[in-house]
Amino acid sequence: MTAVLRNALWGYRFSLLFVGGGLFAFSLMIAYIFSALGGLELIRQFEQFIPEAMRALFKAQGGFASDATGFLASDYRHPMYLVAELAFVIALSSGAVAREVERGGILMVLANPIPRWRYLVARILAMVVGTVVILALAVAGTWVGAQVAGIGDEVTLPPFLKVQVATFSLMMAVGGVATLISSVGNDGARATAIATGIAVAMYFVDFLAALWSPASFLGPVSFFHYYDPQTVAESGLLPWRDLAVLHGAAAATFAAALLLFQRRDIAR
Amino acid sequence: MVAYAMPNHVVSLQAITKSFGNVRALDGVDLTVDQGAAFGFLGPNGAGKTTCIRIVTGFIKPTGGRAHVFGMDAWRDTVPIKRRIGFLPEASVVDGNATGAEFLRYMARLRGLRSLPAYTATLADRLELSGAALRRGIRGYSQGMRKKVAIIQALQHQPDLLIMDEPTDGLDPLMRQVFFDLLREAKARGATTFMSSHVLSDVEDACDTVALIRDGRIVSAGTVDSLRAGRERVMAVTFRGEPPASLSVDGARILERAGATLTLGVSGDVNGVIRALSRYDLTDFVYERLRLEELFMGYYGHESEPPAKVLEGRPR
Repeated sequence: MTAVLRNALWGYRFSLLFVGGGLFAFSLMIAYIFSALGGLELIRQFEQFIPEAMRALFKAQGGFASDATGFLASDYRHPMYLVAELAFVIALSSGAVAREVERGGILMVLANPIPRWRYLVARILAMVVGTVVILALAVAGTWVGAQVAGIGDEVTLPPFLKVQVATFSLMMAVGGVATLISSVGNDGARATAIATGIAVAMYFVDFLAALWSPASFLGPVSFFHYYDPQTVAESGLLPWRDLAVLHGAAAATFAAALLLFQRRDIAR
Repeated sequence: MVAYAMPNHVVSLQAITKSFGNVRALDGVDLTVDQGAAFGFLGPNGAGKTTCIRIVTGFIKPTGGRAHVFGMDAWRDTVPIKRRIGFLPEASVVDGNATGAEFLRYMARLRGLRSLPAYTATLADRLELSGAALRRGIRGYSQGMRKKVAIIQALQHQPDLLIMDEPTDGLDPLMRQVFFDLLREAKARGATTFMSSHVLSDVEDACDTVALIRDGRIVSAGTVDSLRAGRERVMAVTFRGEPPASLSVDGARILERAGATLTLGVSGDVNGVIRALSRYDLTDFVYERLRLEELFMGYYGHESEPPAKVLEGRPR
């Protein structure tokens, strides 16, 4: 299992470097812009001009932030940030089986005496480790940005670590779905496309439910409904119920993926 | 029918069927491969060779029937089986991100080996993959080099059973010979080989027992000699002058007359034919060994045509 894990991480080292580096830079930039705009005062004046649809994107219908920590945390729902993380998670997850079947590489690996479930667990662990690394780099970017921008005394690490626990849970739920799709597929591009489509659809459902009250009942269907980084940062509390839902979805989809992969034919 | 899952049968398939949706890929396949045999699986593309190999290697679960390798269930006990096999898949896709040496180390680690076996260096040397080549990224390898790396990973742990799907694709003629030498050496130490190919000369060179598969069914199986037995062979006889118009030879039929050369199809005892021809003044006499190719073509669509047609383009 260690050999597969190491090999998968080594294979994704450049993706890890670029996505992690990108998120570090993005988080740093947000902190710097926040400071350059003059902090919360200007943002509060500006807030009234922000359309509701845009507030919904950041789950900030009740106001953007009560402090610097809340503002910086709300940007962890920025589409750019989510796209980068989701692209990384979906690429690793959908590549675990479907892409390897498509390439034929899985035949050579599984011709060795390793059970299929152990192979897939190793690939899931590679995704978990990679996700932890990029999320850690994002927090590091926020912290370094705060120091550089001179707002270091307003921004402490613990709230952001809690935000990243929530982000990690969201990524695991999406990664579970992508792994499940990959475990039964023969085509890497198709598995990636389906997983991406589901993630985008969930994001849209959450956005719609937040924006249009008749559709609010749809909200709980989306994983993004359970991800509110600003509230986590401002309250300083982990949202246990939301985490349970996301991790429950992740556990169910990973378990289903393992079961189906164990039973499927590798016929391509 | 032989007893299945006997220890001396390294591979045994009993009434194996496999369907993919409405398509029946295998339809009642029975075969056994004994310890130390070099077994060749022949058939055109889509006949069911690869499906059969993937059932043996535990990648595909049969719809019906029983598949055993080393007396163990090929699907359920695939992990212990794989401790004893080396597998060379048809498309030898090796990790493009790694160097040749890294890939081989990865494969060795998956077998629980801490380092590369000593035999790896021997194989690399024999297959002319230098140390410098192994230190290069596989992404820059030619198809032949990728195949060599794939062969090394299949052989480096000296498995008891070698399973190979179209193993010589991408190898040049010299490397094919080296590869066959390696197979003979594996056989000499008691290993069993199970290979599929549509390159008939490969199977003829490397295998002592053969099964022919068509549309998911085994149409013939046995030793190469037993498959040849009873099949018509071509004899080309050149007379000094015109051959007699009324010539008739028991045990042979005339396939073609071309000047002084008569082409005969011989299916019975050759002694009677030779005695009959000894009465004439001959300048040349060619009696070719029946090649698997003729057998193959006989089973795969030219059964009704005379062998002379099959042999078009070959020296007489």
